[in-house]
Amino acid sequence: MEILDRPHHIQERNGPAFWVDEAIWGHRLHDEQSPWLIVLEFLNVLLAENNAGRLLSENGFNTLSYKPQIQLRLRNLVFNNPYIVTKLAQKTGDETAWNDWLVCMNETAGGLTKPDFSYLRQNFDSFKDFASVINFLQKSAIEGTSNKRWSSKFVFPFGPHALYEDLNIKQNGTLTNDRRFFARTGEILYLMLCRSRQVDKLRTLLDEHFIQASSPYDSMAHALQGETQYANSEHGGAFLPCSSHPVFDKIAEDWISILSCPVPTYDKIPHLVTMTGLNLLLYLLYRAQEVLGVDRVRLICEIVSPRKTVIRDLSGDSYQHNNLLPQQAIRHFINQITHTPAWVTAMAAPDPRLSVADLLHKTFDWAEDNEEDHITSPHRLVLQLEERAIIRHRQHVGKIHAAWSRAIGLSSRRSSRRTRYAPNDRLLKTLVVCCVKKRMEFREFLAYLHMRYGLVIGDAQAHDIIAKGDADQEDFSNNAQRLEDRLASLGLLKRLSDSCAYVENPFQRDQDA
Amino acid sequence: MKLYRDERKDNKLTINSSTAAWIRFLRNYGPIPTNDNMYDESIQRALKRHAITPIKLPAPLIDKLVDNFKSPAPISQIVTGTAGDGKTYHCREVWMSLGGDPALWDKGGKIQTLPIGVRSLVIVKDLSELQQEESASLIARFAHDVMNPSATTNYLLAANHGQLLEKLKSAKQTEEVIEVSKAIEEMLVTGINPNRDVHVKLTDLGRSPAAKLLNQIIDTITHHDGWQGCKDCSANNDTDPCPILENRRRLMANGPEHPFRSRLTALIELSEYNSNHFPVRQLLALVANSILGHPDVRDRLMTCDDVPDIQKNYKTYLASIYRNIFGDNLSRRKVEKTELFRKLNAFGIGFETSNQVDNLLVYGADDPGYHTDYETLLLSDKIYGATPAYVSAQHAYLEGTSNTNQNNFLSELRAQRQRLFFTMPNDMEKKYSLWHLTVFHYAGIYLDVVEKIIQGQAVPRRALNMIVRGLNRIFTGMLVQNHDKLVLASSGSYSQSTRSPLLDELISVPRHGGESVSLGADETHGVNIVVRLMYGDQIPPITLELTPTRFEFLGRVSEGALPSSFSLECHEDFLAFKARLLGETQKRREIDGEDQMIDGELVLRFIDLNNDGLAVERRVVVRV
Repeated sequence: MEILDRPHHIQERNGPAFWVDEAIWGHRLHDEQSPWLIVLEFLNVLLAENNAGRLLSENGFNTLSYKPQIQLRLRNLVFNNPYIVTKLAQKTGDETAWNDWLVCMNETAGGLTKPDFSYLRQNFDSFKDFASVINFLQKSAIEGTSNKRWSSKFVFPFGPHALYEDLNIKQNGTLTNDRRFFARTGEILYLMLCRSRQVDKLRTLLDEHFIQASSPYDSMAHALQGETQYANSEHGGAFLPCSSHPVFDKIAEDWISILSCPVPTYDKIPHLVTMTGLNLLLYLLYRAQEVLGVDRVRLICEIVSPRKTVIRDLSGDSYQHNNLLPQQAIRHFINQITHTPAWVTAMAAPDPRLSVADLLHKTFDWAEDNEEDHITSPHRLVLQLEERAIIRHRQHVGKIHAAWSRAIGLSSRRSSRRTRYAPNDRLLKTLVVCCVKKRMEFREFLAYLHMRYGLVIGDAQAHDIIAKGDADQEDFSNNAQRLEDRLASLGLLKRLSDSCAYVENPFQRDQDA
Repeated sequence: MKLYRDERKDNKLTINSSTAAWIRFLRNYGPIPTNDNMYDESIQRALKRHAITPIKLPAPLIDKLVDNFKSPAPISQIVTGTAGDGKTYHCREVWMSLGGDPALWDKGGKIQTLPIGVRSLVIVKDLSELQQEESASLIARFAHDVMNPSATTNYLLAANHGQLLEKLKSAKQTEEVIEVSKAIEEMLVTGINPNRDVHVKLTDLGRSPAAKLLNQIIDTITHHDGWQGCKDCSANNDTDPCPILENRRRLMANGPEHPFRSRLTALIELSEYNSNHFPVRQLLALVANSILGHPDVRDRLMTCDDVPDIQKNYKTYLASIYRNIFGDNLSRRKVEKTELFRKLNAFGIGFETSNQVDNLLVYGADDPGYHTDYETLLLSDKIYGATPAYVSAQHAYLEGTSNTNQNNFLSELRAQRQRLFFTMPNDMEKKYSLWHLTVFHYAGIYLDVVEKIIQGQAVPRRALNMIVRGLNRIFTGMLVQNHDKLVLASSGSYSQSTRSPLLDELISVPRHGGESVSLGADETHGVNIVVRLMYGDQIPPITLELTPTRFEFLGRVSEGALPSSFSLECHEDFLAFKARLLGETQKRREIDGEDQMIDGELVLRFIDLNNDGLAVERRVVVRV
């Protein structure tokens, strides 16, 4: 694995103030972008790159530049269309309803220079039919109940025509790409998959599932949108520091196994979202661990028990420990500079303060502002940078572990005041769908989850914890037992006897039967 | 009073010693800490020591196994099962029936060989006893012989599932071993041998019906000749009977006016339909604990010597067999650790209740409306029913003097609910909603349905309506009332979303044009929901096993009240079932050449609810 330098060919006006989080994890991971939105952004990149003839191939590291769709008419119709309900309720008759609605809509639609929605009349028999279709699209929207601005709401990715990027649409109609919810994490995901070893196989599958697939609902989105609209400019500047990483391969493998399940594409997407969330979370932790040079990250999971257990405490501790890892990595990463030859040279210079400031600028892209004038010691300067970096880190990257682990159902505060790793049923189901081809012995499944994702559930994976005396073997075997019961009640496990059980993938199993 | 006590002291002397030995022996089967009760070997020793007639357990397979090995072309056999299913017992019985020497067997060789004519039979009563090298070479020979039709050596191997797989995996992976392992693994999971060249039959003792076994075990134990000494035991008198004997009496009673046995077997059956298996050893432990359980004695299981003290302290009522069934004589920790009681307590009997039952139990003594029933259900049972302890707790509770009274009464109430579940006469079952005393309110209907299906009779209309309505509500996410059509709805996006506004198909429940929704049995005696979409076999019927839990879920959904405890588990199951149905209807449309898009027109079928709550279809055309 090679760690890549920051590319200097693209300089963003509103780019990062300094290059610390980005140097470790890339530009950028963002807490407000939920796993669902990561996948949506990814699909946008995928489609745009496909249109440019570069499906899942990176011509030179970190050169990604793409032009996503914006589909302004479609999103206005679905998410910025309050009049449809009122016009329908007035019961004025079909003709009047259409006319009234068109007037209102043409006035209020956002981001369009000359809005004209009259083309829609030929697509529907009645205004009521039109309203039902819009209602259907609203109901199936991604995270539809959120109170985000209308330009940050998304229809379900039925197909290429239903994809568009997050935008900020101002009152005066100007469009800006403020990276609020499509904060480049989808671009990072795209780069990761481009750099995975299984890229060729994945390319075929993605093409088949998301590019070539023609679904009736996608053509409905097409009918509503009319001609496709694209962003005005190319989006560049994404940066992923690792030329390769085991996590990249794991994401790709997980995507391949989910995409190979014999179920409709729509049903695969939620699983893809969950596994992407989990793997990116692990990427965050693994990178921190690599910077710190500490032991392998692991996640001790409690399978929720009705009463307080030792495992609950341990999983809470494990959560806390991991939650702080990225922050520790930031400090370590900055401090490392004081052990470099460049530092020694800078300190030996006639004006160490000036040369160190210069070094920090070169390394971390940190331009000290006037406030630092009073600082005279080079070491204080480093400390200052550290503090700034931590403050910035805590605003977003530092929140990712908490936000994503909750979003994918990995962490919970159920019957406790402390957050801990306690996977919910949906996550467990996704893990089974993803990891088990047909069937797998239960103990093997536990070992696999540990090997692949660092999840510690059963006693066999917790040897050292038990040896240290922090828990009894029984605590962990009971934990595994609860997982076994849980999976059995979800219909994902077949028990042969007290000593033997098989985890079964519900989809592949039915295929065989 | 003094005199009374002295009398008891005398009684102690008249306890029959051989009966006491029998009770002590029976006690070993119960949930005692030594765990010695686990193994056939130690039981044989104890029997000899005390000259007790062995408990002859039902082992329906033995004859089949013996016939097989006597036949001219026998097949090698593997007997698997959970610890306590009787694997060792089976091997021993086969050995003896085929003329093996019991003394030789009792020497305890791990691998025993028996010549049968020109053939020889290798019996391994427990594969896990073998050392790594021993088992590796055995597995190699075994794999070779079962793949070879002309081999003259047959095998009878016993192991629990995990050990069997472990041994197969740890042996040297030759081609033969791999083939055989694959076949055995498949047989373990599906019960079907996928490979005709592998001449081996696998029998899973875990699949024999435990309810039937339980009845046989109860009969065997309660009719054992060890009880004969009780006749002249002075602990046994009419006013204050010996709790051991009383429990035995209640356990023996069978027939329409004694619902106890049928209710107990119903619980076991329901558990098994929920795929919670009861091995023979657990059933033995259940019977032993039911008869001997008492919270105040050593190991919480009575011996004959304990009885006089119990009677003296007026604690007979704590030996109630209805409490012992759920392990209430044991510590809470022990109950939670014992699989047997975990499974039985999953029914929540004692905690669940209905208004009628609680009204009867709390106010029945004074409420004229409940007078007759109180007489029949409580006062008539002086030993475990309206005991002095219960009556005084009830009184104190109603007077409301202190908090302790309340807790005390609550535990009494629990014991009475448990008792009522087992003793409520069949004709009062409806009035007091018997199954509301469990978490499975619909279990009564479920068992009825299962019985009708097994006997090939028509399923009660009401049950099928309930199932279809429940499914419809889950499939659409709306409170629809339809029960003559299955409303297959889709969300248009992913199947997991809760509301599905688009109609995929309406499938007729009564047979119509190749469509039907029905209930049927499968080869493992489970009950399935069976949905047929077409005549012929182009699309095979889509089935879903209908467990008591799923049945309960559907019942509650169809009545519009769902306890949160069901949360996701069943819901996910049914959504997965829907996803399968959607896949098949899609296939049917492809076969029929139907397309959602015709000449640039996309037809969306929305589901509307009319005033009667019925789902009706509204077509919307989009020109695309």
